Amino acid sequence: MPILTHRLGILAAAGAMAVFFAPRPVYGFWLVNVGVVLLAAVDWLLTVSPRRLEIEREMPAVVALDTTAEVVWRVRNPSRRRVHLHIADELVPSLRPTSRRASMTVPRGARATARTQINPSRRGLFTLHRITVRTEGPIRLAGRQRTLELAGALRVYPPFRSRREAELRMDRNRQLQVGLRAAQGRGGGTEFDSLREYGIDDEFRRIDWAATARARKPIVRTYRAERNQTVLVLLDTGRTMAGRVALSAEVSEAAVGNTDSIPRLDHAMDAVMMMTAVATRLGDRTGLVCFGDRVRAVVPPHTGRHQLSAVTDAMYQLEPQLAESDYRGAFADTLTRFRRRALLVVLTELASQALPETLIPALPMVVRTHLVVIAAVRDPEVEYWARQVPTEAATAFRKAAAVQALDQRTRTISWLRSLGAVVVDALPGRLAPELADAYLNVKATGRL
Amino acid sequence: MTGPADAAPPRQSPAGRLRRALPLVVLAVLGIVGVATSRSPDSTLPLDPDGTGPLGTKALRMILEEVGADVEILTGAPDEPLDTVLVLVDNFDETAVDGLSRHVSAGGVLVVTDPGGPLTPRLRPAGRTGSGFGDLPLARRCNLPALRDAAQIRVGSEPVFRVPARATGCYRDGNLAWLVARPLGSGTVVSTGGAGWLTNRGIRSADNAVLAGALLAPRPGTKVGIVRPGLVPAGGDGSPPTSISDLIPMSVKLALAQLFVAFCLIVLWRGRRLGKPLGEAQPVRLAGSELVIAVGNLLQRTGARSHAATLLRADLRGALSRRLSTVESDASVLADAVAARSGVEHTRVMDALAGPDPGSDAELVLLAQRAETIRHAVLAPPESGDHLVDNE
Repeated sequence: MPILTHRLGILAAAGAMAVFFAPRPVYGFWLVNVGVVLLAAVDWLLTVSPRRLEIEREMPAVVALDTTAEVVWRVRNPSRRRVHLHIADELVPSLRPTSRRASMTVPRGARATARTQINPSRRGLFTLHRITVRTEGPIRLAGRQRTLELAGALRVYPPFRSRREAELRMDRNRQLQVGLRAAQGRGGGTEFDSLREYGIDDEFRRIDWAATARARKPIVRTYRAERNQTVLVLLDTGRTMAGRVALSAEVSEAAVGNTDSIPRLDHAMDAVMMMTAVATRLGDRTGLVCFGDRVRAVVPPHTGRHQLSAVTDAMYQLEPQLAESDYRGAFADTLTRFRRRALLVVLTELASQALPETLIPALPMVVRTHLVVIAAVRDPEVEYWARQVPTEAATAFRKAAAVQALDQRTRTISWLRSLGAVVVDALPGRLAPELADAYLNVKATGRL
Repeated sequence: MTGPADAAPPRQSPAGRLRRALPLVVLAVLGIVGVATSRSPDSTLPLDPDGTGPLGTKALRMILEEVGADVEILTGAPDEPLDTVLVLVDNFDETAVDGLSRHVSAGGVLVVTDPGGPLTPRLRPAGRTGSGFGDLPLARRCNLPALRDAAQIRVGSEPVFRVPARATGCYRDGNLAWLVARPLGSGTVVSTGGAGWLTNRGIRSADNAVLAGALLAPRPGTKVGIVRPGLVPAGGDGSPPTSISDLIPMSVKLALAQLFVAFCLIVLWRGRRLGKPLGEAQPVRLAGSELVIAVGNLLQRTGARSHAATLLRADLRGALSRRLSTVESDASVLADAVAARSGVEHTRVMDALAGPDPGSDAELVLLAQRAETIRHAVLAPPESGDHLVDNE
């Protein structure tokens, strides 16, 4: 079916002037319209078919959330006519493209490119199947349009918001290991690393007397944290992880309800990436088990830099399930797959009313053989409401509800601690760093 | 051979520009239509026989009826024989002209106040009466017996004519005449330089009314027809314009039709979009604090003030006892410790910790405010280090 252009409408509108001033308006009317139809028909016949064009789409395979990437359309025109064309790609609104359409003019036998920027607003897999192409005739009064198959896929990974915090912790650990600082914190590892000359801040108990005698100067033993230990992160993707929590811990009255927020699951993913980055850098093996009402993804423990990519790739498509999380099933599956003692990090939500019937009964399964850390993100809005000075009845009742929620959360945490789990309950932006600190603390004290 | 031609960055599409201009176009069209339709084609027209304004001719009609004439208002050529026909505006088509000419030829009198039109094509103005400022008196200066009583009339600045052969000119200004009477067949065609002298304002001057009576109703019982002036030529059947479209010239109609064609083309252009709309399933958006809001609303809706107060007091007791290392259950001991540390009155602390249940929402608000004041007084600077809770 022919495509009309706006120029044809403008031409017809301009014909109204000719009709108005024509000596014989009736003849003028028919003359103008027949002329317009003839011009459009000829233009349509001379239009190059979109099927004759060779179109490619270039875009990165992976983009991190909230970063900008470029999509490039390349068009080659093998015909003998110059083509003016418009394209519309399947860039969905969540990709936030500058424009999903572009126009270009391609000389005969030549290529042309058009570009647009995308800035994804949610993570996941975006598959593109088709592209619509409209070509216009030489005088651009009419054209042709076709939707062509052009497959593509774009993976939008969760952002690693705590990357700087991770780098900071890895640098600190590296400094400790190379002995740049003699005064180490608690522990400093239990695995023998090397001998070096005594420093003024070294502990006497670390002096190796045999080496001192041989060298005739004080020599101390240095230790490093044990390597090749296993860290298993269990990521809850159940219904409670769908709740959105502010990105920032700072909440004010004006910002309540209007803050930038992301689901708890995304906060937890940031902590997963942090754990993976830090643990693999320290030589430990890190794995991931994602679960909801069933186990949804498993990444076996490995060390090395590629593990962060593997973990991220396993997570990026996961959305919270609107179902109750099956902790017992997830723990049983994990115990079956991985029998070696490990640091088991469970990223979940602690405000759920169902925890006493789900997580807490299942916890003894794993605390016997693994060191369990349970981590969750706290909602700063609830904390703000609990400490708010109310001025009306609604805020007073809401304050009471917030106080109740926090009290219940505190009781749950105490319960979990009493069962032998380490609990990290942190505000947004602090979950990943504090979880990493807890891990480093475990390493330093040799509890694993 | 390749000749890359980088595409320009996305700019505003023609559709966007058109969409912005469309309201202006619609407003302009509506304005034109409004102006056109606001004009009424009836009695507001000048020289209308029913018009009572200064430019109407209702007075003429009444004068003629006063002198015994039988006045009929026409819309074109008379269907039946009349003695006299007055044409105030000569914009007839050929059929109507033929009809009126037959009326004169049959012995009737035709008075035309719009010379030079189709009825009097050969009568061309040769000058004007006066200088254009005010009415000018004109003496009869002819021997027509019918006009003997109208010795002097007053007219404005109107055309005057050279008197053709076989015609009689009256009310002369030099060699030129304002009134020309020309025989046609058995009748007479009388042309005047204008119609101002017959208007409600002009007919009262000098002998204007006498002249009108002498020309149109020389004797009682004369059948006089006054053709109602129209904006456009009356049809062959003498019918006046019946709708606004009759007033619109054909060229304008066709130009509008052409614009409609253009509009249809624009609609067709916009009707086929470039690429289908993209649907996208979005993840559920639910605030993490939604449950707290719901519980708060539920407490308020059920009027659970006592329960809310219990929660607030328990929270306050817990915070204070942790800070002051006192027994949480003993409110009196706790109140003593708080009063000693913060200076807050013992009774106020006791009221906040273990007072009576609030009887109204206002009392609950007051309790919450008091609890927060006490908390701040005791715990300031605010608690810190609550973020990390572990069993270390």
